[in-house]
Amino acid sequence: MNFTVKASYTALITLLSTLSSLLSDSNPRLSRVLGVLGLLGVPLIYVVTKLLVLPDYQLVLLLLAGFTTAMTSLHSTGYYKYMYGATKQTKLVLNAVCALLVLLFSSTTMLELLVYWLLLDIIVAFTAITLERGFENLRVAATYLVTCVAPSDIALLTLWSIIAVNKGLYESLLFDITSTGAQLDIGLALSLILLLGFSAKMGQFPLHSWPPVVYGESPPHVSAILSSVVSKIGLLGYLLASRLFSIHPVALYVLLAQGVVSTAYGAFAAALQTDVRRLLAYSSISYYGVITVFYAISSLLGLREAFYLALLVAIYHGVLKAQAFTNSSVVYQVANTYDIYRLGYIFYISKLSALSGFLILANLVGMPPTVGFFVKVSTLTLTLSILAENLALIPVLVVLIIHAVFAVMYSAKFLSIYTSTLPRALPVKYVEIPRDQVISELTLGFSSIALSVLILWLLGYPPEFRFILALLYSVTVVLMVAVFTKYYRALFIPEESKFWLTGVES
Amino acid sequence: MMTITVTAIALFIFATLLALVSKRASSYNYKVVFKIAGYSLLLILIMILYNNGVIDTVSLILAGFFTVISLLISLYTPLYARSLHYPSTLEALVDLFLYSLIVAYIAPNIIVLVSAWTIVEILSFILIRVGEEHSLEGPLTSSRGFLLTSTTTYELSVSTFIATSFTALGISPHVLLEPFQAVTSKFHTPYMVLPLILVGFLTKAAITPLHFWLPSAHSTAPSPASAALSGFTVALGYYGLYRLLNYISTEDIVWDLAITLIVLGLLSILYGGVEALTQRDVKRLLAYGTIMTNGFILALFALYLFTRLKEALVLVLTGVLTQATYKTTLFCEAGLFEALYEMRYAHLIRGVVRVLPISSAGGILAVLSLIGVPGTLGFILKIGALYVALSTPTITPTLLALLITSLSFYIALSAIIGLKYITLYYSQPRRQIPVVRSISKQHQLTVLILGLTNISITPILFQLLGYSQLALITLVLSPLPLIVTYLVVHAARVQPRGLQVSST
Repeated sequence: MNFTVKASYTALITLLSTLSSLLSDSNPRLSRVLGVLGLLGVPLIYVVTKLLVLPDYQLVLLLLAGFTTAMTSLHSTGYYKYMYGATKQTKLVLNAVCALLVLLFSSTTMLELLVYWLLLDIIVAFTAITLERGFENLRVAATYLVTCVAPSDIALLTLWSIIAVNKGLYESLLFDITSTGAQLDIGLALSLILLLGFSAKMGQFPLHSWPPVVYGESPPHVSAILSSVVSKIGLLGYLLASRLFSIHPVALYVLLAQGVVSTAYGAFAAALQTDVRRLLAYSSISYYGVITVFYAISSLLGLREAFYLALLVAIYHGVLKAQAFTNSSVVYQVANTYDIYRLGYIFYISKLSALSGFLILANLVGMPPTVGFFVKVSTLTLTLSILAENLALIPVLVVLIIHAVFAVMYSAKFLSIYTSTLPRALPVKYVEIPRDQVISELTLGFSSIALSVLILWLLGYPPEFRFILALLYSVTVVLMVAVFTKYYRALFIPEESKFWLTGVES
Repeated sequence: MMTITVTAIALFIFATLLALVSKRASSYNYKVVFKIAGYSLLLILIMILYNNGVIDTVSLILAGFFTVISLLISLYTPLYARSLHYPSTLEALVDLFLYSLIVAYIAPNIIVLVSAWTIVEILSFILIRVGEEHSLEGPLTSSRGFLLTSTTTYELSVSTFIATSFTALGISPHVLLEPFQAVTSKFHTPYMVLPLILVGFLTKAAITPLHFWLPSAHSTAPSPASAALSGFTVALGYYGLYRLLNYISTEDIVWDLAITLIVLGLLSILYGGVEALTQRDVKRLLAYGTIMTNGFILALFALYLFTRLKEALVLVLTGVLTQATYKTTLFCEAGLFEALYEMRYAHLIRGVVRVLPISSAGGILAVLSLIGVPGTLGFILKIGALYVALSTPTITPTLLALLITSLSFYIALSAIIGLKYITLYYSQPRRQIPVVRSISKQHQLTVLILGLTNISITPILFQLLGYSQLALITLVLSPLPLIVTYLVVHAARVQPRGLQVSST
């Protein structure tokens, strides 16, 4: 790619996102525009005008990164304004992480990938995780460094070294990672190092212990970015490894086993959590497991469908978890706790975040208009269709079913923070959520519905099948709206508060 | 040859005089002028020796960079001695110590190396003794431990080497006077004698299980001396090995030697890294960090011994320079903590960014080099190690596996130590610690400049070694650590509040 194009691209993104954070206190409106423009607008413009040419998977991940980081950054403005009164200092670090992520996913040379990847890890570990609590989060940052950063960095450096050994030192730094050249043959040991390292980035068994700690203790928006985008770097690593090298099949089987164990374990553990963010973290492990499983299947059997499905799950999970973690930050904002059993009344003090929570539930359960439905159905159908040829995939089917069933369980648990009990502390005041937060959360939530419509439109289904699906979608949308509005009206708290259980007016 | 010798001796004496005169200068500014003049003369001397082919590139690089860093340490010393009420001789002692160290690195033959090294040993003993007498805490046996362990084993090894050379080549001073460049007479050593030759150098480099003298010695010495001890003196171990192993034919035992060294290196990485994490004294933490880094450099040295590749030697040099830059910065910064709080407990000191805004930036840069942020020397060390290990065709699987294991542990442990260290800058103290005295801007500035060496010497190093493209790339990457430092300082200033949302 042209050097000037790349330089202008990098400069625009860094400049706009930095300006956005610096202006967030003095000129919030301009800051919002600049932030969205820098993180989402610039990549979109460069992609649409064909200045930035990327392979399909990287393009998809770039758009995911741009969209979710822009929304999370927007969301954080409201949060920090509400909690701290000032947003400038915290947003600078957060926007640096966001900009680096966008740049990482749009990198085309090895040098860019190396630099952005390593810088990102260091900024996340040393500034982002310790942002709110300072040295108290040392343990968390150390966990992140040892169990996630170190293995994945070794895998990345190994990837680079293999290219450097074959192509020469300088050529390897300027090596085009998007090229489709001849695949280098690497042995079993190197394949294992690569895949195990990248799987650590996705919290796969046996290095599955860090997501609950890190997502559970970091500042909420950092958790959102980590879960939705940073983990997808692991997927990028897998895809790069299989694009550049011919991976040894044994390593892929090991990866498949890792994915299977993680999917089941994450789903089980998520259902047992009492902390909202730890629940979401275990659910993330489960979804990473699904992504890993489908990547391994696609590489082992050469199935294009499995590859696209892995990407789809990644996007779905990215958008969903960005929304869920930002949503949990709102919960913390209004209730000062993440403990599910101490919550349960949030609906009565913030209806809009309850709507967002409802959308998350719909996605996790797999209700038709959301993309969660499509993901759930297609993962199961694809596995069933290839099961006939390869009986070894029975464990995969079993864990996918476990995954689907337990998703319903823990999503119900998630929604219970909104509606399970009546307010205990009285009088309950209706809390006004800053507009930034409402907009960004609902955008993320409704984009999952828009995404499913987009997929329906993109896939070449026969018209009658499409019609049936469209009918199904519209019926469920109507039903959902009806139920939600009914609920919304029925339990509206009047301005003056009451003692709910005794009926004594305050 | 005669003229060069005379010029060299004259220049050296003149440089020493300048450094000694600087002690008598009335104000700090005059001292600065004298010291810069003295160390510049030393640098000129090194250049003359190199241009006339007396010393090789290895000596040039080590001695040249060490001279620059020594100048900064020397500028730091008078301010340190004044604020902590050290005896006024400390300044002259540190200067002499640094000078004799540089002479050891530019020694053209064994006899000069061994003599300069012996002076270094004696001066280190005196410096540790000074620190011991002056300090309020810490062990009182550290200088004795240093003398009995480090110095004795060094003398043992050197004597063994000389004795072996005499038995092998006949009693003549030829081996001792022959320049390193023109080594022709290689001799076999008996298998049993080789450990005796190695032990002194390995003790000097504080390789586990011969590391025990180092933490107390380095933490007791006055901070500028600790910086030089940790940055330059331990590297003498590798330098001595590199020079002496040229005389010994090791072809038949190279495999055993490499495996032994690399296993010892791995042990040191694990032991030093884990011990560093449990330390409370900042200087002891750094001293154990030295043991860890030395273990990694030893693994690289073993790779060099086995392959005899230029790239492996470059890696060893990079390792030594990485250690020299970040350790000197951090030890000098620990000296500021001593002056500021009259203590250096890692678990109590918090929020340094607010009190020492200038020097903290330098300290953070050094920590980033330890962690290996792109653009710092530490990054080149880690990435280069993997590259050389994988690109060497003659390497055996066992060696490769050991090397990659060492690298993985080194990456992980250095990152956690860096993280532990960076919490000193972060956040408010749990309990406010009284600030005993204020630190002048000049004093902080020396640490900042020391910190900047962590990123500035990388391009120069590669230019000197003849990798001009690599130098360009590292030059382009060098602003990155500055950005990270800015972000860290920025995040460290965020006031962490208890998030209070009233329940009413």
